Amino acid sequence: MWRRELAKRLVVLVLTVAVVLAVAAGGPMLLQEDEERATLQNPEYEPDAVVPDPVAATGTVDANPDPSADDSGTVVIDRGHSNRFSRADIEPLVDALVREGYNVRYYTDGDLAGVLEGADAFLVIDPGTEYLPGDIDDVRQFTGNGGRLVMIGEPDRTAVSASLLGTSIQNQETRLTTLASRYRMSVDTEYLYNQENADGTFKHILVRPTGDGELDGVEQTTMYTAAAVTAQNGTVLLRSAPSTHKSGSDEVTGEYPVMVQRNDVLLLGDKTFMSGERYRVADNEQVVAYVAEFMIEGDYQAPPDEDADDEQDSENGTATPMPVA
Amino acid sequence: MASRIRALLTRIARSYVLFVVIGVVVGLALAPVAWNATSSEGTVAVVPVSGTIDGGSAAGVSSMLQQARADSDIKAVVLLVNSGGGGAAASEEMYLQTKRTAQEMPVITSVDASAASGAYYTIAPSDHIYAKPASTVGSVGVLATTPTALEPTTIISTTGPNKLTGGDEREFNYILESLGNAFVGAVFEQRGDRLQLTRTELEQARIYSGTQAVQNGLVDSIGGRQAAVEHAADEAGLDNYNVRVMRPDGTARFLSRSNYIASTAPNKTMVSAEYLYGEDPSEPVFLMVPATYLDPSTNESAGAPEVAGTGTTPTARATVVRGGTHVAA
Repeated sequence: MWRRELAKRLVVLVLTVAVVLAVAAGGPMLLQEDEERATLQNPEYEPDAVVPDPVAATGTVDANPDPSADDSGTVVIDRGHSNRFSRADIEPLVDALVREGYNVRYYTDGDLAGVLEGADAFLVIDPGTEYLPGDIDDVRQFTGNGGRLVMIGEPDRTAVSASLLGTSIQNQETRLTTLASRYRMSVDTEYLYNQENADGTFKHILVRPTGDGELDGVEQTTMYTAAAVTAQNGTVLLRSAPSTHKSGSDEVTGEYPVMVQRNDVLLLGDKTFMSGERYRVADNEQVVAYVAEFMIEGDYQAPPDEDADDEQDSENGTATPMPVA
Repeated sequence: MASRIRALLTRIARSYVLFVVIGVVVGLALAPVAWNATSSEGTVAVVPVSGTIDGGSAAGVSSMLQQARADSDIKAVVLLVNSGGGGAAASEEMYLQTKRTAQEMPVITSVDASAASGAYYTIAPSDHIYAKPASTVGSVGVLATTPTALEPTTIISTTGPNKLTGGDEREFNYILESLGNAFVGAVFEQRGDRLQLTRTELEQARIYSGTQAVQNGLVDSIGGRQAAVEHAADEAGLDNYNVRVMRPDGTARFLSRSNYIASTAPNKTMVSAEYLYGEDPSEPVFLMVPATYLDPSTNESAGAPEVAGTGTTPTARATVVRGGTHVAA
């Protein structure tokens, strides 16, 4: 009798446990149905809004110098003033010159006038030491006889170098002041940047032709850490895109000149646009071709009288000089 | 004897006194629950975001926020931030966690010494941000070491020209820019209606003091932790509430001495920039920290590991970024 009663109670116990477990298992499922988890929407990460469109990097340097220019000649590249450039920096330009039948020589030291004698153009890239008065006179005499001068500067930079003694930081300046100033030209020390019109990052600025000069086919080019350049009574050939800032004065925006020409002298504020890995970006190859043509097309005529030119000089030393017609 | 015991038990069983005593004992045992049930309408969870943001700290904060979301008693969250950011991906994880939490309950932030770069990214979805006058916020941007130009050689062969580096320096800058755009876009998505800065100005990645940040909209008002907790309770509609301070496991690692000093984390330590970059940074490491935090001079007094060793240390690279000049190749 008592066994039957015990069995009844055990059955009740088992059923109770089963009911409790069923509630415990089914409860969360019922709750989940009631409370569906919303998917997190992230419109701020929409790829079309986040990923910048890269500037195309295609094209070849195709120099078309004036037919009246010589079929052969020599271009001298300065290596005698601690110039900072590598072979890769100038190879596209050298390639264009060589294909036009021109020789390329380096000036390393000694008599500059002697090296320039018989040359058509002199290329000075980012010198680390200033030109002494004697060298300046040699270059002036060269351009005075129809030779062409191309100067390429850079903004002030900080170089990091490592050695066994540790890491050292060194400031680098383009030492073009004495030479360029004799041609009423100068290179700024601040770098240009543009957060709205850039090739990837703010220091890789977009540059556009002004319409003056012979850069008609150029829509836009790029420069990689460029300095503004000025030339009194010069012609601005390239300006940075709108909203360009100068480092250290970010409230001032403008379209700064980065390539100016004054008679037989050309001045640029960046050397990297023509390097082996950058010269194809945008229309850089056309600017490289223009520089090559400029050096080839020396007309060998007497330069204008500098004194007379000085009298015409007007106040025009700002960062955005107006082009001269 | 047995009959006496049975009589006593019978008498006790029939007595009301015993049941009253048992009732009092059980009632007292359950009293705290009843007290809380009637005196508190919910809990405000305080979640600390301390030190350099890395995978571990991001997982810790994410866990605490998940816990807060899962706990039906927690009605609001206060982020107590004292960080200069850290790894980019970890900072983005923190942002997504904060954003998800803010969709479910009020999230109010109180900034201690700083909420810079990746830490500001983390708090951007907050409903309200309090800072102190001496707090520093901002530095909205990304920095990374540029990959070294390499080409496959006879020692290392690859199936593609970019397998070694992932791409050239120009392409790398596009990658970096897309990270920066996502960061700036997220800040504008969350606080665009309150920011007095243009997108370009924000991209400058400046650091601002607490009062400056109130002016430009990166922060909503000046206040401390108590203000943040009260604000959170108010947003959640709680008149009576509990405050639960959550604590992550592990040690908070600081790059900045000022953040280290301000921290209330029970376990904290100073670390050098090498913690983020590694000893020999041959690969790009995407960071969301102010470059000033990577300056060795800020770490010297902390007894941190040596940072100015031989080789091109990342700290040196970051140091020159701060100047008005640029780094020559």
